[in-house]
Amino acid sequence: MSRKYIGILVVTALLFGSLLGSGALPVNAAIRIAVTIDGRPLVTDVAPEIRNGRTLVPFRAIFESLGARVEWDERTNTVRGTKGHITVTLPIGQRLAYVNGAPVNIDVAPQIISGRTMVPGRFVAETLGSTVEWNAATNTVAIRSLVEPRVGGEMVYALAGDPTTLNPLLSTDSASNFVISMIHSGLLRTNERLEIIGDLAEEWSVSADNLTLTFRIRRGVMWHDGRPLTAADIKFTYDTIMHPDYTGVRRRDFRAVREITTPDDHTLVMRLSEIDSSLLSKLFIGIIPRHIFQGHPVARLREHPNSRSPIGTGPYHFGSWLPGQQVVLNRNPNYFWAGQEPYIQRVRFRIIPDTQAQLVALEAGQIDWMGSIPVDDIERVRRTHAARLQFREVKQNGYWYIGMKQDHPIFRELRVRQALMYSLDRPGMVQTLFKGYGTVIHGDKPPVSWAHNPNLYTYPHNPAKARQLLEQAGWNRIGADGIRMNAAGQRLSFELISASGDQTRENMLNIIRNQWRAVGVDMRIELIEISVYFGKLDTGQFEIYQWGWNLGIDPDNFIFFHSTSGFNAEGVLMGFNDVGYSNPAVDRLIERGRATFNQEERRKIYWEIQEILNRDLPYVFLYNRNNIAAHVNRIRGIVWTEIGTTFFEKWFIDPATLR
Amino acid sequence: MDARLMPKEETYAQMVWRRFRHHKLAMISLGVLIVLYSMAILAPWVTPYHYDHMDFDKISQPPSLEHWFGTDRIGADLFSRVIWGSRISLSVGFAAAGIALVLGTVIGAISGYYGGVIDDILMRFTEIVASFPTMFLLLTVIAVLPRSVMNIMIVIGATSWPGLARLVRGQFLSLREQDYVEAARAIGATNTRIVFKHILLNTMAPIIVNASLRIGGAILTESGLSFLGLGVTTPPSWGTILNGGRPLLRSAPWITTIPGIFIFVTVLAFNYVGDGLRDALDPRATK
Amino acid sequence: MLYLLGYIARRFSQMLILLVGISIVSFAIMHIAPGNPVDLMTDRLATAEEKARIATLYGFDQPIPVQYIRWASQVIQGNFGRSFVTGEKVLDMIAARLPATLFLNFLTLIIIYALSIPIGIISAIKQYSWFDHVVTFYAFLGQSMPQFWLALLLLFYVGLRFPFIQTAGMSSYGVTVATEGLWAVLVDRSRYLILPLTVVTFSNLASITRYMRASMLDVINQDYVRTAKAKGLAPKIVILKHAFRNALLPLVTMMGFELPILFSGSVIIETIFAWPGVGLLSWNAVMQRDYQVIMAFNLLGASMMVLGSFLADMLYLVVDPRIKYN
Repeated sequence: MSRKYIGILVVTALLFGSLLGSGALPVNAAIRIAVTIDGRPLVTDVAPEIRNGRTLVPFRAIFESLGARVEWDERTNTVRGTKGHITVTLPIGQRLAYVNGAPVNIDVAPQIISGRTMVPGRFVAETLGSTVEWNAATNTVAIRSLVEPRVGGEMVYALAGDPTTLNPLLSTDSASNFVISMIHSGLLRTNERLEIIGDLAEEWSVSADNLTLTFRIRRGVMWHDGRPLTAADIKFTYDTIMHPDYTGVRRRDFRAVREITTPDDHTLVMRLSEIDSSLLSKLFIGIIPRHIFQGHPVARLREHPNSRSPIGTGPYHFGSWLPGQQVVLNRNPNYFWAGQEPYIQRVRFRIIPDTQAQLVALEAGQIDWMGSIPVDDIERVRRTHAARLQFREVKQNGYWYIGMKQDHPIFRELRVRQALMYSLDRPGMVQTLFKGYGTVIHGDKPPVSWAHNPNLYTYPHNPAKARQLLEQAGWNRIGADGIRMNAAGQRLSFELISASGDQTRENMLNIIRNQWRAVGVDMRIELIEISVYFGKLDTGQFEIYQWGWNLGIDPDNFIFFHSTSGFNAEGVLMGFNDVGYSNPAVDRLIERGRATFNQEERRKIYWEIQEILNRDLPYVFLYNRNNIAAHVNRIRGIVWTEIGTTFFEKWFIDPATLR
Repeated sequence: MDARLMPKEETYAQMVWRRFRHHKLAMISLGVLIVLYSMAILAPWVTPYHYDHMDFDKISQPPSLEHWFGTDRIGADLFSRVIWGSRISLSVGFAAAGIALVLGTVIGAISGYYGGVIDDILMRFTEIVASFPTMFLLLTVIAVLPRSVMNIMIVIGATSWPGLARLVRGQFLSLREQDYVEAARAIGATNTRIVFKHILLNTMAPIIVNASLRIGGAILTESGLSFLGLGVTTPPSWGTILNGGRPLLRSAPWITTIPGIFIFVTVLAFNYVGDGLRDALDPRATK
Repeated sequence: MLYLLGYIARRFSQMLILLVGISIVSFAIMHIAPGNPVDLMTDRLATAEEKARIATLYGFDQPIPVQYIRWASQVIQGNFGRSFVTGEKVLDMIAARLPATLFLNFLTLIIIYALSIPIGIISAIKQYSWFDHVVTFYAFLGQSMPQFWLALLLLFYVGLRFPFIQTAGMSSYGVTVATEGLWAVLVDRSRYLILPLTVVTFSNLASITRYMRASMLDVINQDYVRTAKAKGLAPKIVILKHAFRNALLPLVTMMGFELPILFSGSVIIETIFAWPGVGLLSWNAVMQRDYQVIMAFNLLGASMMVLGSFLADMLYLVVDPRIKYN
């Protein structure tokens, strides 16, 4: 069994474990487990059950649907299934099974429940050569009989809008980034576990002083037009980003890079002016071909024809683009990752702006994949399309928060900030707004980050405590309108600004306002057009605001919380620390976090930063939201990360459905 | 002067009212509108909750005795929201139509009466306004000024008058050549008096009809803006409530159905009232 | 005749001045509006120097009048510039989207006229009949429903129910005349057209129908039609020969005003049915402050409007000899 399956097993085990834990709660006692085999639901007269974190299913149903012959030996109280040359024997009530006569330990014994003999589903399926996935979002055990991937077929993917450009140096929106990620390769990439690995770089080393990075570039990589890729292409790409005329948003990523050299065609050396461990995660950016873009003015990069019909080194090459309709990519049979040539012949991105319209297209079978099912439709779609669709939860690598100006007369008092935290029922909001598909966060790292500190204080919903803290902070009189006042007669009242045009955000802010009002805090909400809104944030014209961050995989948070990322002496915002948070201890930690490439050391640093932020509360930390993606069963071998990075080259279309 | 040209206010109004009453649908519509406007005015007294009162335990609930129209995505009582929302939608309709009425009539009248260079300039100006992308203007205005009911009224009003101006101008062009205007001129009436006493009175019918249709039009425009996230939110207009229910159109259809019905019943009523007025004001009608 | 030529010449010069006026006004408003392409192109953290450098590269550092003259002199040479967001030539962007818009709008217009002329006439002749009432009700209904609501209801309750109907886009991938033949292409396109066409037609049917009905009533009540009736001509002939022709005249002049409508896309329809027209393109351009694209659309809209109203005036002149032009 390959490593990726072991990975899945580990994840599955963890999920089963958590399920077991919550199984003790009466609310979750009625969870219904669905079992699907190659996407088709397994029909059983007795529902599958969970015992000790393992799913038990009626033996006849599972064996037969996996194509095995079943025997029941009443004398020995034993179930026997045979498929091809594999025979599985399961004595009832024993945590021991026999595979072709050899004993194997199992976690849960086969047992009789409601008069039916139930056997552990995963063990049986895997022994008979299938893979098993546990989908926590849908409580589904998906069993897939192992099939040989074959080249061919088409997958139709819904995008909400046209990509703005297909040049990796200039793209900022998710549609562009997504399409680009299939066409272009970076120097580095992540694997399924979000660990940094080489892509065009075969390997790399960091000098002892952490100031020189040396990359060995893979040999034999061909551009889609047949020309070989060399280190010069990579140098050209990075030099373009660092060029003063460059108009994109990535220059800051290369802030620490002093010089790039290419001693030979397959070696790239980067010399840094300061240590910056977050740089590696910036090298995921797609490399563009020097022979195409060389000589073109950098300021006009966007206008180059190949910025819209790109040439890359990735698993798919650009086919065609009909604006407002679709982008078509074809498989690159010469993809350089050995043994990872893409299987799916053609990937078609259809542009469907409205989410409800996307959902209709998915239900009507016009598209094969939808990235995010609207929250309110998840239950219904899952119920009505269980036989045809599969669902996956995509975690958000980011969070929503409320930023409070730290020197504001109301918010500079820690007890007020604490009271604002305590008065919010954040888990309740995740339930109401996202139907539970989200996570409450208490620091600046979401759980998907390797630097996430799980031990932070959770500020549980406690209006009484909030009132008490406000009293202590001097807001101890209550006006006729129920709003608190201090001794000077000032009302505990302020205006929150945020960007208009997002229904979920409006709902969220209304809930927050209601919960704050309940403890005597008055908040007015002003929703502004987004460019005006950013203008106000960047010039500090606010009391309190609501926003969210989508983060990179590196935990460096210099631009958010370092004191020099706030407003400088001239009033210019230097980073995103618009709340003006300043804590010398945090400054030092952030600097140290940037100055080492050692992940364990960095983890400790960021854990400490999270603890301080959790105490200092520069933000009211809210939550993040997870998406539910849906796709047709036909798509197999899906490999991706928790945050939705896809590895299309490994996917394939069920060969049974291919002509 | 011919008595027919200067009818006594009461008799004319009585005649119009008599004719209007014959149009059954228009009468029903008028009744519906009166009820809607009364509800809007009485919103604080007829609604059980404030428009942004919400109850977490009662999210997206279907209509019931307690919540006549059900509850929305965050547990707010839809009946209260829709009634409060009628204040916004109905006043946006009225004010925007009023602004368009004044601008359109004045510009059309001046243009049509004086003709010549004044006509050329005003009509070209009308074309500029008509050709200006409303969305672009709206976004600009809403971006510069805070998003308020007032600004939305002004923008809708200020962009929807060109049609009316053309109509009034056309009426004036043909009416000013008519005998009775010539007659009035002959007896030495000043320009202003001629314009406003004689021609305007005769142009009244199409203007009133147009204005009544425009109220419905403005309500629809506002709901269209809501689709783009530019609608009025506090209190929420019908369009905003309707748009807010968009993601729940299938899982909680009442959230969209109810404001949707309110919008189209109102607009339909204004259409029928306009229709009734057209018939009632038509000088040639014999009924 | 000379008189008429003079009039046309004058209107033409006015039109040009008007276009210049519109372009100046929209150029000014666009630059006064908050947000600019440099902010959107660079990240929020770009320094003032970096922004200034990009502004210089794109000429945004110049005073607005200078920028306007630069833009205008390029436009005169037929160069509308490139989008700041996508880097494409603006004209290419519009050209890629305009066919979808024209296709939908043209079909809608044909259907609306084909439906509303007979409906309007019958409604007028049989004023206050049940036919008149029912048709009026449905026409008003279509006009009174918020369009996006109607569109979504159709999407869910019709689009999902009938597999023949395609709910998003305007054509299937790979279905072309060359590969599948003309008939297959026609069938394919109509599968996509059904929903958007229904919505646009239904919500616009009322105005023309009512207009036709009103002008028909107008004509029927005119003396000469009464006379014709009195002379004993068959009602059908009276209607077809006299009333219909005369009632159609104002409708003809209205066609001039339809010209700009033909070229404008609906954000609502294009969002809900993924119709690849110009509406979303122009809306996104406004949201992204994509100056060149906004200006091209403003100019296109204005030209069509000016041309349309000129056309309407001309038609009016031809149709109604009573109007004198000074």
